[in-house]
Amino acid sequence: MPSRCRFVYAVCQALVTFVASQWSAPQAALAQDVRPGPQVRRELFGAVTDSATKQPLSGVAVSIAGTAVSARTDDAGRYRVAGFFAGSVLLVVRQVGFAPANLRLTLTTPVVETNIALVRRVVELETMRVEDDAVARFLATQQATATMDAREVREKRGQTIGETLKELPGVAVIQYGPSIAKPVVRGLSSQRIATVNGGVPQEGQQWGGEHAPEIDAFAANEIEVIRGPGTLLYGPGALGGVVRVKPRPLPTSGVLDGEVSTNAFLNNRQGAASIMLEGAELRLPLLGKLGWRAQVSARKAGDAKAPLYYLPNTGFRELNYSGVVGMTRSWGQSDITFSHFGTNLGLYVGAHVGNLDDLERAMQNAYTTDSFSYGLGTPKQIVTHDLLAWHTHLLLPNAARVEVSYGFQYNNRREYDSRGFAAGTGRPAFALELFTHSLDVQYHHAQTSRLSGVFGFSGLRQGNLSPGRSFLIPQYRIYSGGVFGLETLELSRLTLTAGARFDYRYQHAFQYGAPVVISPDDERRYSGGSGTVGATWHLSNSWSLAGTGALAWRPPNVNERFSQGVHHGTAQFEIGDSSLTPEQSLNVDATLRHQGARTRLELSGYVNRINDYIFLGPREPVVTVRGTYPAYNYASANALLRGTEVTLQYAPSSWLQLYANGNLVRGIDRATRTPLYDMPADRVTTSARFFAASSRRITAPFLEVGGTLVRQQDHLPLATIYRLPTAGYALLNIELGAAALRLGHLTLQPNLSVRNVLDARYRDYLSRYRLFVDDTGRDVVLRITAPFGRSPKPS
Amino acid sequence: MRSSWLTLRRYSSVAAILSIAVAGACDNPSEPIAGAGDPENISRVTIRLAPTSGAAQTSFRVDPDGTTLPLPVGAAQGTLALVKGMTYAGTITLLNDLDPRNVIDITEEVREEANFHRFFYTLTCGGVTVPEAGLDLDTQSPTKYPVGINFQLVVAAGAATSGSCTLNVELRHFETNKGSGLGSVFETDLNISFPVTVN
Repeated sequence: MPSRCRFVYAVCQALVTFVASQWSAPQAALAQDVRPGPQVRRELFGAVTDSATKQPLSGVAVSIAGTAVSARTDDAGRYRVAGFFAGSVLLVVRQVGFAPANLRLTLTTPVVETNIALVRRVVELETMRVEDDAVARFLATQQATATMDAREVREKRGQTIGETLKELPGVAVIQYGPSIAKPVVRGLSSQRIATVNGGVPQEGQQWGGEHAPEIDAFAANEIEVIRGPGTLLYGPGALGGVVRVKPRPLPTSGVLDGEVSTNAFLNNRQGAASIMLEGAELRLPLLGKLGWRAQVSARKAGDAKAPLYYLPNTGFRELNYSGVVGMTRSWGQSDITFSHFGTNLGLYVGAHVGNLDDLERAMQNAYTTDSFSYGLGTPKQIVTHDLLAWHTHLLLPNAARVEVSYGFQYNNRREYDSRGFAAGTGRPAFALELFTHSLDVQYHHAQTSRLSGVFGFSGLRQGNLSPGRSFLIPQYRIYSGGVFGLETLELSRLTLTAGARFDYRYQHAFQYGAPVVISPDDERRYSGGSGTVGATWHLSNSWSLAGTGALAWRPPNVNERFSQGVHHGTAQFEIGDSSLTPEQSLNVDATLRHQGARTRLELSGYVNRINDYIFLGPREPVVTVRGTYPAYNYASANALLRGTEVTLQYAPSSWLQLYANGNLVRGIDRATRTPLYDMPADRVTTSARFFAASSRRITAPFLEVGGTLVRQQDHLPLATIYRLPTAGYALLNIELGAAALRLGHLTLQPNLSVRNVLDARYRDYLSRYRLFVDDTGRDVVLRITAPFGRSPKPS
Repeated sequence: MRSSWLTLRRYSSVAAILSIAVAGACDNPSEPIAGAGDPENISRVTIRLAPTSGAAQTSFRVDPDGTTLPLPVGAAQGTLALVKGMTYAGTITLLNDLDPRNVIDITEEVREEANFHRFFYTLTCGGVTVPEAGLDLDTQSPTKYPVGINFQLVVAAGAATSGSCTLNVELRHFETNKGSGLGSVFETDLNISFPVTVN
């Protein structure tokens, strides 16, 4: 090749390296020095030992950075990686409990022996960022997964945790104004989506349409959404998917670090702030050196503004605080967390209607106001959620480990009615107290060169009290438990997984309401098995195809069997069916992934067949002395949900990143071929992010212009009063931000975003206020985070 | 300064942890909570019309399981037989008598919350009216507006003879600012009809 071509080629390589380094995996796509000339198949082998004991280490992950070439050391500590061509590589050696080793090697012969001695060190399990493997991990993931790292969470942090993740592929939200947002994953929500907060499954009456996850948006450091059944690891409450909220890891270094974060939302004149302090030098007698973190956050919002009017009584207040203290040692880590979440939120007054006449009147003349107010009156909810958790990770030889999580949660939900005879008495119309103890144990067994796996069990004890003036669900006691096992086999181009789980649930609903018995005494036992098989085919270094098949089940909840009465938050008469049987689902999905130098593509499709799918469907109205009420029955049908998500990221140059994501969900009742309720409309999100050059003052400043396009939702269920097709809409969004902005001694992470720049009027199909009022209009959001402290921070 | 602040933090955390641990021991769902779940609903609506002379007419309707449960309201027991040219003093009574040992007078609660309620009486019978001047008043200031627990029902001398017309009673509950009670933002607490004859 002539020298000028070689020069151009080298420049292109450098550019590719730079672009790839701007991606989430900074070291992932290190340029391989591909020399022109005959391709030589190379091989690296050797032994990995413990530098202190000189003993061989088995199960150590050895890989070539930027490729899918990897291996594990065998029982004698020996490894062999082959099938790559580059003469100059970065050999990455990773083992839990040891400092990572990266060796830059220039291979002068096709077969080279390299021995590595690893240094033992104290490890931070949660932050073990295997950055060089990020590409390999992306390609190897079997289930369709979307992650938001710390930077993305900071940029997109919403008014609630649900709003923060609403633009992820496959995710939509059911909203009651800005204060309540419930995640919907592939068309499924509520008790079919397990929300796991720092390893503890969130238990907070999640069956309710207006019961959103009670997690502080500021406490989330990273968020991961797994689309498709997560039943194997998380039990029957994860039939539709899993939302994993990961808090910051326990600090292991630094005396005092922290972060002050503020979010301001102009639309409802909201101010929110969080102060976090952490350190690793807390010394207590007998316990030694401990890491700790304390955080407080608060939020105050007033009425939300739609383009033409204000929505009265849609403000909210939040006060949350949390603390964690723990120890990190050579044997692993153990920490205790306490967190409190408290919110006081208003429900739009005009949606809180009584009988059918009230409803029709409210739909025709929605109650709105012309002026803003912070005032918070009835109807409103006061919800608190307290969590006490104890996590322990024990490191065992050969990369085995045990993880134990115990959690106690107390959820207190009080709903105050604006009307009805309880109003003004100060007593909640509706109140529920939920006490949950949960224990999850996972044993990751010693890894051989090909096989890794986990066995575990989980248990739960839950009690529900219903002290409000109105009845909706009975008091109950639940005991449930599950055992599972999951194995992963790594062959040269194929990774196979298989797992099985057995769950048992005992449910005792207590008699409620004498002399007219509303709900009888009822004891029920449910049990069932679930299983999953999966395969990932590494088509090449940058393409992979993964598929999973899963059988899952879910027993009916107490609310689905025994609801009886008006659900105040949704103003509908809900009637349970105690004869409901468990849902059975068969889910098959496939994901094609590509990670190239400039492009990332993820294409996912799924078919989920759920028998005895339980849903709330309309029935003939209930006639009471108050008139006629819209009424709903819990019923079951055989359902079929299908859909696809496509996500494409393309960086044609170092200063431009393009993004596009499209989602489609079709859910039908197989018998009648009619659509199911609450299926999200088709949505496309697209953006172009332009980077300017960094300077001494500002790092990676960008301007992003994007759009959210939602198609009309014309797949509507059987004709009911709610059968109003929702028109499609388009929103224009603009965002300005930077990775860091230095002002004097302060380093800030600023972000200014304008959503719905054109103040377009629209009503989302999943907005519970859509029968009455428009969704919120333009919002200008300023987010500033200021980390501080003396120790260098991980990014 | 910093250490005492940290100590304070630790104490409040410890206190919170202890209170949770105590709360955790206190869930006993098998025990019903006293006073909880009394369905705040009306199981019996009675209209009583007392003429200036003669016997009173009453009609009542019963919802056998109360407002919050699906069984429908029963048919009216007793017909209101009106005489032309007569004026009646009317009273409405709302009761929760699902538990005969503990009858709750809901009319009393409406009276206490008169500034948030108003009854509306409409008749399909020609020539029969419930004039606004005959309704009892709430305690709003500066102007009092009608509530209508007690009302006057006037049958004109020339009213049409009818074997089957209806009296519809509606109770509107205003969250704030009842004002005259003619506003459009309310929840309907009662919407029920009674059969009437005019002779």
